[in-house]
Amino acid sequence: MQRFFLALHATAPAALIVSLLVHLRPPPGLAPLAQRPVWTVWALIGAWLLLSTLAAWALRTLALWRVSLGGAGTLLVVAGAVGQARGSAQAPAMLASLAAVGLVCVGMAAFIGPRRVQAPRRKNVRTAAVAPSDAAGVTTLHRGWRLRQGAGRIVPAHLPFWWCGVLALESFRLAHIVATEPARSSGMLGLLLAFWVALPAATLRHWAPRNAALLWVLAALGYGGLAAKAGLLQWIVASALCAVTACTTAYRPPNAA
Amino acid sequence: MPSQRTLNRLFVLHSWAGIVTGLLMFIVCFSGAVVVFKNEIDLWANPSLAQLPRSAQPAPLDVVLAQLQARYPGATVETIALPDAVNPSYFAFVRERGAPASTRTKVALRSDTGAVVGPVDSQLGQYLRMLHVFLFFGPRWIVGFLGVAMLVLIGTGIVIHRKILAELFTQRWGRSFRVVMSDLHKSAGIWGLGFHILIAATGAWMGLAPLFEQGYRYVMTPTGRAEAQAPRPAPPALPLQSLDAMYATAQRAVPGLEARYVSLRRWTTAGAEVSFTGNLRGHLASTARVDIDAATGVPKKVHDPRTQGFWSMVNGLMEPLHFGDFGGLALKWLYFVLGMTPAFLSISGTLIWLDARRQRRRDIQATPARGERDVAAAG
Repeated sequence: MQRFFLALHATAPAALIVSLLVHLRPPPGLAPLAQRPVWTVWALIGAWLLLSTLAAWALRTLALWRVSLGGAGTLLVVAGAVGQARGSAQAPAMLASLAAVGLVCVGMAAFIGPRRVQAPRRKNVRTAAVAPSDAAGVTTLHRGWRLRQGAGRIVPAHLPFWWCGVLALESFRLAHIVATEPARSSGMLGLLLAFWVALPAATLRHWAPRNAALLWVLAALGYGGLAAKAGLLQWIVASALCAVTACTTAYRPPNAA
Repeated sequence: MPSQRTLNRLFVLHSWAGIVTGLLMFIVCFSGAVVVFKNEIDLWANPSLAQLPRSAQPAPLDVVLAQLQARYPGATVETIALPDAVNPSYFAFVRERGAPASTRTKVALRSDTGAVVGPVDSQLGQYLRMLHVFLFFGPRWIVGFLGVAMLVLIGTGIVIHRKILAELFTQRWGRSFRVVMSDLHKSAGIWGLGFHILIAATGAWMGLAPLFEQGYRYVMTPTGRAEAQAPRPAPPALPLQSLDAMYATAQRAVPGLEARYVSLRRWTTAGAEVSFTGNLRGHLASTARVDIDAATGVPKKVHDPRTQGFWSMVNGLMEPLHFGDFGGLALKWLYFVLGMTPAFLSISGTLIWLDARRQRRRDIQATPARGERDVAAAG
């Protein structure tokens, strides 16, 4: 998965150049490019995913970047040559520019050899760094699940971020998929609340819990206002959710320092 | 001076904000650097337009419209793009009769005679712009939020890497991967700092301003008013004013207006309107706009950013400052090179984070092994 994630970065330029070549020589039988058809978007996404899958499967870290950069550089020169062959406007200038950028890519591919970095050393024994307890009542369980304990319940540390995501997604749905008033305008405000109030509240949770709780209260009030104005059930639920999160954020277990 | 605890927190915030938004940020920044050359790319990707002449005195707009209506009878001409510094031709966006509501055909016309050349070969520049601004499918505010995330990354980055002057020139080759990458990350971030703040702030503004505007209007509108508005039946068509005469009216309303686009709305009805949008001669602002009633030729709405107050002026400066299309080719190349640095920062930050995570996992795996050996040795 990690290799695929990296390959998505590494192959993006090459995929973009492939779509550029498709624009220069579109396949026959498809909607004309003058209508900005959607198949060009899917062609880019398809090429990107395909190149990423192949690169993740076939190439290790350093080779991935070298091949991707080298490939992007070569494709740039090819695109410049195709433009020249087709007699495009400013073709010589574009060929020179694309070749120059392509050369930079190829040069970087040659430059980032193994001699630039020290080979990783195997460390058999090392004292593990003890993760500092960020806030009272926080326990490390497994693979990053940090739970906040208190009053017989536990709350996953990243749960507020999930709430933010849910709030943003529902706001997006109302604003752009339902897209009729009052859902549209209130959805846009919901998005702003999720991004500017709820997300900072989730971020500040362990750092400044009181401020975070205050922000959650603000979010609850904001969504409550939207519920009153738009009369949508979603905003009532969102307001209640923010209020509950404000309480759990503000609550500190009795044994906390 | 922030405490070590605060620095640790900011570092965590910087890391997570970067890793969560990194891939999108990379795509947006990379495509944004390329989109600086949008007009040049559009011209280059249309070989059939290569031989068209540039006319010092472009054909009148009325001739252009008449040519379009003759070539595409029954079609709706929505927008006419005027020749600019890069593209010598007129372009028009036409909704052809029987075509789906979302389908527009971009048509090229000669600038000297206004004759229709035909549909363009491609819209590559606009395609790249759609990727940068809308990620093809999304609303613009997604990129606006990324602009804010970039500002957060810049702010936290500045605080956690405080030795700015030293890090400008620090590059330790031959060290561990993370050290080499970290040096590159920091020096690229600091060399491009001013530019990064500029594009992040302008991008955030352009992406989020409409959202704030819509939200503000909604909050200020009394409940129920929006629902009360019923669609009015379109009145019958009347003779419309000349486009060129209306352009002259627009230029009188906004002195120095250099229209880039002429948008026609409800053209076959008495409610027909035309909008002239574009730049101001000798001024950076790009949001000048005049809406004119096409039946009477009287301006309905005039937006001159020079006279509409501070925020209007700020808004008008955002687009040129973000895309760097006001200083010729040299500035575009500068924007391109500097625009690649945030894309590099996304990649290098991701690589540093992944390397650190791999290191942490190795450490965690090594610790129980040592514990077991200690127990065995004691036994």
